[in-house]
Amino acid sequence: MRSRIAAALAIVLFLVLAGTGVSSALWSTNVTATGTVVAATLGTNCVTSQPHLANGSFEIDQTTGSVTQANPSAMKPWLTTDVANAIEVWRASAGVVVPTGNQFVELNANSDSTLYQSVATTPGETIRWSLLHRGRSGTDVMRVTLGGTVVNGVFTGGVSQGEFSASNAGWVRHEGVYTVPAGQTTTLFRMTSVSTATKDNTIGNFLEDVSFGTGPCIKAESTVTPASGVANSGDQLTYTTSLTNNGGNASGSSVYSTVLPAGVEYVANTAMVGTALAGSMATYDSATRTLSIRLGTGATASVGGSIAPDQTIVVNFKATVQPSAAGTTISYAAAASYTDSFAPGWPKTATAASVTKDVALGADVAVSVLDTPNLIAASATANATWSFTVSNLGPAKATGLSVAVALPDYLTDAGTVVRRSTVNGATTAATVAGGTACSPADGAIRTCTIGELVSGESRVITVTRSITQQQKTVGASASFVATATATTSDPVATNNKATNTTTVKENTPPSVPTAPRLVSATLTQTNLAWTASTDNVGVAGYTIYRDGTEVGTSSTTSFSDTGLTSGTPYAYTIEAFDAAGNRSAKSTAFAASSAFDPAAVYRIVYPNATNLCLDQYVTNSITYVATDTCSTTQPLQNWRLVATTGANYKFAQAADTAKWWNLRSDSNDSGIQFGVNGDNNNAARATFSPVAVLHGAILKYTLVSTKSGLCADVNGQGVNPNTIIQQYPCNSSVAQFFTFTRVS
Amino acid sequence: MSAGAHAAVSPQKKRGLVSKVLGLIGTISIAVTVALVATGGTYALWNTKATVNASSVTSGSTAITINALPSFPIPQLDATSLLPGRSVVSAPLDVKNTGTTPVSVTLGAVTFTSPANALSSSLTVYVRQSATCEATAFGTTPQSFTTPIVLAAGATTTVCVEARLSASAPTTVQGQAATFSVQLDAVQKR
Repeated sequence: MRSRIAAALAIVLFLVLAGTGVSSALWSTNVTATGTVVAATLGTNCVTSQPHLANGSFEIDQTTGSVTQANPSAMKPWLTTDVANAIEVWRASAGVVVPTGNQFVELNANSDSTLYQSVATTPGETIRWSLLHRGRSGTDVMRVTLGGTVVNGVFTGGVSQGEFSASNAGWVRHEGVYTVPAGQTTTLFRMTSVSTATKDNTIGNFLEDVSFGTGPCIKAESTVTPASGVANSGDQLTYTTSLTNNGGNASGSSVYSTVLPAGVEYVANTAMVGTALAGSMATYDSATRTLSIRLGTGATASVGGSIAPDQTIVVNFKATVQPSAAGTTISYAAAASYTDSFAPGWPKTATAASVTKDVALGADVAVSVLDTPNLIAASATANATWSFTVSNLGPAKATGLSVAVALPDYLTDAGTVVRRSTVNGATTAATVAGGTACSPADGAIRTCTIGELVSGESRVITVTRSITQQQKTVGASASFVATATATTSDPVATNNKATNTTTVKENTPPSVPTAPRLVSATLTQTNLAWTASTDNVGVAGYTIYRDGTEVGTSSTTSFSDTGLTSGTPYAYTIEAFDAAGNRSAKSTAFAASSAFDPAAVYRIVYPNATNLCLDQYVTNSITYVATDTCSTTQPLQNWRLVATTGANYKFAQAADTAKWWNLRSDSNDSGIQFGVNGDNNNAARATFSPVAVLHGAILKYTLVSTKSGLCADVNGQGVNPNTIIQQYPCNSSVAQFFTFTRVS
Repeated sequence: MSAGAHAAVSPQKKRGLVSKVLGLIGTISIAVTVALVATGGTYALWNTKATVNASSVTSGSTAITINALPSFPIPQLDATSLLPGRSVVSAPLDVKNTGTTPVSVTLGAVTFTSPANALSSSLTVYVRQSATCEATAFGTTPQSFTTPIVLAAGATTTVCVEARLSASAPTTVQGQAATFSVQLDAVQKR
């Protein structure tokens, strides 16, 4: 009853829904199917040959003739159901392209038949089959069947993989995948003729490059030669790798790709495939140190080709052991990438076991020029000395070391002395003088036998010769060549030799620079200029001396001397030089002052008298600038130089900067006295320029009126206090020389 | 089970008929047009204004099975390992309308019941109507049926379920397994 009520309610509900619209009132239901699938795993055991179809290219027992009929015993392990028990073999001379090897077969030999062989298989494994098919006189059709059994040429069971056709226009590849059923440990691979274009069952169905296996599986093995012994830096090693396809199907995109180990460098263009240079098939990327070689049938300069089952390809290349490898073991692991044509997106890699090579510690003997004499024509004759440094830059001790010095043919007599030092270091000729003479004492080659030189040490070799005036003609040269040899491995040959050459230079110096002068100055710098020198070849530059000491060189006619003290006079001289090193005489010395510091306070000393300084002096209610006994406690002797324009200053009373020196008249005549009154509305009368001068060898200043151009002058060269300062034509007299002493 | 009988019911406006109607429909299949005034579960009224168009509404039972099961586990699909661009296919599956009315069968959702992995992301499941089942050739995309399959009551058809691994499946899918469920939806055919 309950079920009836439930059913009734359901129907009523349905009816209600039906009343709301026709379309929504239909019953619905569903059903599901479930399934589990699994993705294949590409084989990884490539060390041993994997079971697969054999003689897929029909190459066994090749004979002559364009077309022959072979007994299956000559084409093992293939068997046939042909009525004459024959396998018809074709070769290139028959006029049909042979895709691989030298032979292919015609399935229709003497009848419609099946060509087959039994292959060991493992239940559950995924096997790829593949073959090339071509019609002979049109479109022929054949069938691939896998599995089943055969007794006396009669087949039972098996799974058809389909019927396949191909025209005679070219080879066509047919392929498929087959999973070995449970319990099936051998699988019959069967190719059966179905039809031929001519209807003649003795003509048709060319077959070639048949494979049936668990995919390509490449084994890589490497060797290095020389196989035994220890390598030295600089040696060339040959790395050889064999790549064997132990799988049942051809590989694709086969590329040998290996990163070279540290310590070796690839020798360009040495990659070989078999016995032929790889050429464009090989690429070496120096950035990643990766050598790539495209391999196999169909390989191009950009894409790898295929390696057939059971095929072995051998590649090799040369690499040079680097000095950095000294004392290390170089380990090399070759690798090749390839693809299974049934899963090109799942690339595989074959990696060979590492091969190693020990590298001996090496020395690196290096010769360099230490010093070269500067020979100038017609200069005083003296011994000239050429010197070399012989060093061991390598990690190992150099033994059997000697240096041969080759002399110019006009200096081979005993007047040329070659010696070597006996202690470490690129030291002086004096050390060499205490060293050992090289031998023989004369001759074109002098040999310095050093023997052992440990890592990091060096010796000096000197060649001493008195160069005659006749030999010192301009342009004459003398070259000495030192070459080191050692019995120890020395991989860096390029630094074993050095040449020390001197060319005699001309001896005409440039003219003396003229008109040296101060252009401008700052508190710490003087900017100097002079008139250019001339030279028979060319002036190379100028050397600037300050107070007798070189302060720099300039390739132009100006120089800025920096790092100076403010308010200080300096004496400069200038010297020109040419490319040969010839030097002019020094220019006339000239004085130049750095700028005065407005923040400083100076006492102005009159050195013509003993201990007199310029002071403020009042007489008859007039304030003058006059001499007075120097006193460190007299503030009226303290002056501050306030810059106006250029090198001009106002000389202000340090205690009252509103008062400064002032010519007491507008007149430019001699005898106008210096007052201390401010500018009296005439600034020109209040500005003076302290000009550095050389008084004999002593640097002093003259104080020049900007307005009149006359110099401050101690009246009558007076040596007593209270002598008033006046203006007077500048005459370099002692009455016009002053010095500045900075007091703060 | 026979197809549902059709009966025209005249509009009536009368209380107390529900029990009689229930008694009637409990024994036979019936199609009526009513308007149920659902103010409470205790009574309903036949809508006197409604008119039954006997040809527009049917009633009965619908049910379909695959190989006689409402949910059929396809055996042996994992006996063949999938390579990229290749398929595995079921043996022919019998889809039967075990209901009492014609149904229209369409392809429903495909879901993966195992945890999502790279393999399930690279798989596509197809269902097609065919008496024989062979894996679609490499390079050819399998097809699913798109026109609804009409099955009369009691009728049977055969379909193939094919799982195709994408040709661009990543190498990480190697050795992975995935379980899918594909649904066929059946709607009563008017």
